[in-house]
Amino acid sequence: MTTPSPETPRIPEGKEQEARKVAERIRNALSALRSSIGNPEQKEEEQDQAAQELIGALAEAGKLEEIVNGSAFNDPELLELIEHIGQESTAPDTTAIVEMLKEQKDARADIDQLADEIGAVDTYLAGTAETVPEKKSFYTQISERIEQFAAEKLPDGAIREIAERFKMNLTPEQIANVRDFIIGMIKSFVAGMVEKLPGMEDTAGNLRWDTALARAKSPDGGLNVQQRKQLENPTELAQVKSEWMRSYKAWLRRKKELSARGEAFTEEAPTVAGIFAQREQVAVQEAAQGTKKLFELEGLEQNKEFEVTKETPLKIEGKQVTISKEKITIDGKSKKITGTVEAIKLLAPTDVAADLRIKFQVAGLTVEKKLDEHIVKKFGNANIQLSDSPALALESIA
Amino acid sequence: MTDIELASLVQKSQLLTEAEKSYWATSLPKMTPQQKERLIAILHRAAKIQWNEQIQNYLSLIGKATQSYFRKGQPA
Repeated sequence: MTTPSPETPRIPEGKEQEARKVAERIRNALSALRSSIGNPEQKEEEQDQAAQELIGALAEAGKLEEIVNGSAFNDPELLELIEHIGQESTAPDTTAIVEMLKEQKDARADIDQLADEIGAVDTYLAGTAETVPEKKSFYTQISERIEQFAAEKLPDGAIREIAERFKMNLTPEQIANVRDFIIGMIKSFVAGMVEKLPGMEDTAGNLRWDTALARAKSPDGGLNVQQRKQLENPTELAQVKSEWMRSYKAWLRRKKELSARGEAFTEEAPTVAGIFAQREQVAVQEAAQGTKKLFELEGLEQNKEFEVTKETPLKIEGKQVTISKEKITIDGKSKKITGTVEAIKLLAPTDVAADLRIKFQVAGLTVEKKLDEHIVKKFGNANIQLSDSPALALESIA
Repeated sequence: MTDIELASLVQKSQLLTEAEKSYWATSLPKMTPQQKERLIAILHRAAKIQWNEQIQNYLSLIGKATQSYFRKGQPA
């Protein structure tokens, strides 16, 4: 699974043994919980005990705080544990759940067919099929069911009440984080089961995508500001998801092949951050091969303003300039970037009071330059158009 | 099975979404006996599937354990 970044070691020096003990306890607890879920004969008290052990271990390992603050999906250890739930293909309990999923899918197909037949009659008699409910994919049905259960079992009031006992005053967002994490755990669990069924790649992929997206959007999700903004754009989001799904299906194929050969599969499922990294790599390769112009911005909209990460006062060519998220103001007058090279030259830092960088993305490639380099050396007289797309941002590093 | 009993079966089904429950409830009067039989068979078959129950159990366990932990204020 995921390994921690070498720059940010998670385990403080001298704490390795302690951390290993906690990790072992979590693994044992999760294993016990998984067994208890798949065994209807097991007594409720035993199930409770297994679950309590899990939560206790999570708390001891400092994971509950992460769940509340929304960063749990980016804890490599926790991700590994979630993955572990749905991964054991040979366990009898998981096999039983796979069978249940298959039965559920078949029953859904039958009732959809019956609805279609009745809907066809409706259409014939009344000239409309408006009364037939929208047919939902198996993924949507599973997803809605999980979310419905989460809402029933963990209403806002219950989460808040639990938190208050611990002198925690949760915001609505933090309450949502708790519920989202539980939903994510279950979706990952179910995805692991669904992956074992033939022809269910889309359903399993959609379940895993939900978790991958939650992970990307959570704090420390590995995305920069521009990439996050791209995910807010439905078109961009659909494209990223499509790329992720292709990557996921390839991952699933490799996983099944190794599993069929009885070999261990430890490769991490695709991440959204990984998809963005792939894009950058492709862009760099294309630029290096001369197949794509590095600064080509064709087709992007002109006459829009830049976005900057914070208000930045500076002097440019003797003029007082302020760059904010909304506008660029020069000597008290707002200036709109016209989308031409000349407009960029306006920012030439003859007397720059703040050290600025311009950072933008072209064809998935992030370019970050100091303003002087950027303007004088890179753009020159090139015929470059600017854009307000999420691709372009100015950022102060002063 | 009467229409009332079938409507009750529809309402209890974990196979159907709320919108679908509403649809089937309003569709009952116009359904043929054969269609009703098929619906009953599907719902009975679905009722025997333990998947929903298993997922519910899973969530219930997590929820209960979380509450239990916070009540005690220490790991179980």
